[in-house]
Amino acid sequence: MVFPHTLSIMLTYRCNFSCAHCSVMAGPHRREVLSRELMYKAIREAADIASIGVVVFTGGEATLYFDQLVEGVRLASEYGFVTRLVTNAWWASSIDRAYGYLSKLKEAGLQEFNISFDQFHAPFLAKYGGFQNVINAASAAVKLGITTLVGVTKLRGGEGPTIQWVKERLREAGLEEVMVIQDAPSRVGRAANLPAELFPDDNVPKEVGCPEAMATVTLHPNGDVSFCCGHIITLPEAAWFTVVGNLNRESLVGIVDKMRRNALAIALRYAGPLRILKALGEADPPKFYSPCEVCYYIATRKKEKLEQLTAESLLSAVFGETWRGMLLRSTSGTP
Amino acid sequence: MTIDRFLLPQTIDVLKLEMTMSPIFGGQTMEWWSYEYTIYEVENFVLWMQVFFAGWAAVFEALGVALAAITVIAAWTVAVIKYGVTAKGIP
Repeated sequence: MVFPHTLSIMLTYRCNFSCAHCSVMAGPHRREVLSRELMYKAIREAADIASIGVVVFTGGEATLYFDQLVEGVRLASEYGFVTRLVTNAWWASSIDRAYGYLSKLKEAGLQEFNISFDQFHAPFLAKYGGFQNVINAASAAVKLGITTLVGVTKLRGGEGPTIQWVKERLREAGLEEVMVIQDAPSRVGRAANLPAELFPDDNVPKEVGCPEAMATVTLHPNGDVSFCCGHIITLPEAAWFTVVGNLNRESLVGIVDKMRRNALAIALRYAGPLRILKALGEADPPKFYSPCEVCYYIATRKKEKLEQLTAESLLSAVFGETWRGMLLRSTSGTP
Repeated sequence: MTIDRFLLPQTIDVLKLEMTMSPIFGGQTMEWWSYEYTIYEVENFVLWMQVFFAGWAAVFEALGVALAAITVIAAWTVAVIKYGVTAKGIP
């Protein structure tokens, strides 16, 4: 099986920013940090799962625990994984400082580097140097040969720094090779307090499978492992919906095996949350702006309905009876 | 509640499941553009390509077999009507 292909390590929920659209609810008040032991365990055991090729370090702001981050990147690189860091670039207040940070990570084996920047990050980044930090970080990364990407949040009506604006600034700085992508926000977590008018219709869910489900397994600071990297995974009231196991008690191989046999994860990946919601008998769902919101809705409002289903009845409700001929003989989920 | 209640005793052949859900077979799978988010996720794309080409290969294979059968029947018909060929051979 080709899933999961990514292990995402949430090093911490702590962040020096507290962005208004943050679905993870990260911020300076958060204190959760992943222990070094669990981080090592996850990386070592991921090497026994053939489908995993990428290890992502994220959070919160992973660079707040820089020494641990460097150790994690080094270990993951030694095991042959592609390594990626997701950051807000607060540390890149000068080109020398950016180069200093990134050269340590490059020496440890970092290959990919994602910077989050948008109108929500901008006011917090202004305290450290503003968009120039993005330029500094991207310049240093390009110089060091690290693949670099800037992720922008898309809002209705093109409010705030748009993808075109970011591309233009990077081009002016001679950084054409830096990739820029945009994603619509999800109206969950802190973003649930934002006005609906801000959310574009680009990511409005349809009755199709969710490409995030099963593709990534995410390790949380408390040892929980969830089967996606979606927006609801750190919200206490909804986290149960995606948690497949806990690394304190189980091995990552065992957790991934359970994920591959989990009817809910399979239904989310191949049919999507909207079809599950329909199968649960929801006749008049509210307006959703992203598939993650549907998962949140099911996890918080349809929990009792879901509890009435078994693995088999859930699959039949979503796929009809065709899935029955697709069970593999092996009881092991390992590829 | 934990999602362990949804554990199946065995894994599912997800390639088959994806093919069943694919538009080629009358279902609806993930939208192709969803793969543009996954720039590092080549394996995802390869899986999609496998499903896509396996589907179309099956369609073309079926068309090829049908065309070959029609050609053989047509040739035999012409041979029988025009040249009087019988099961025993050419007269």
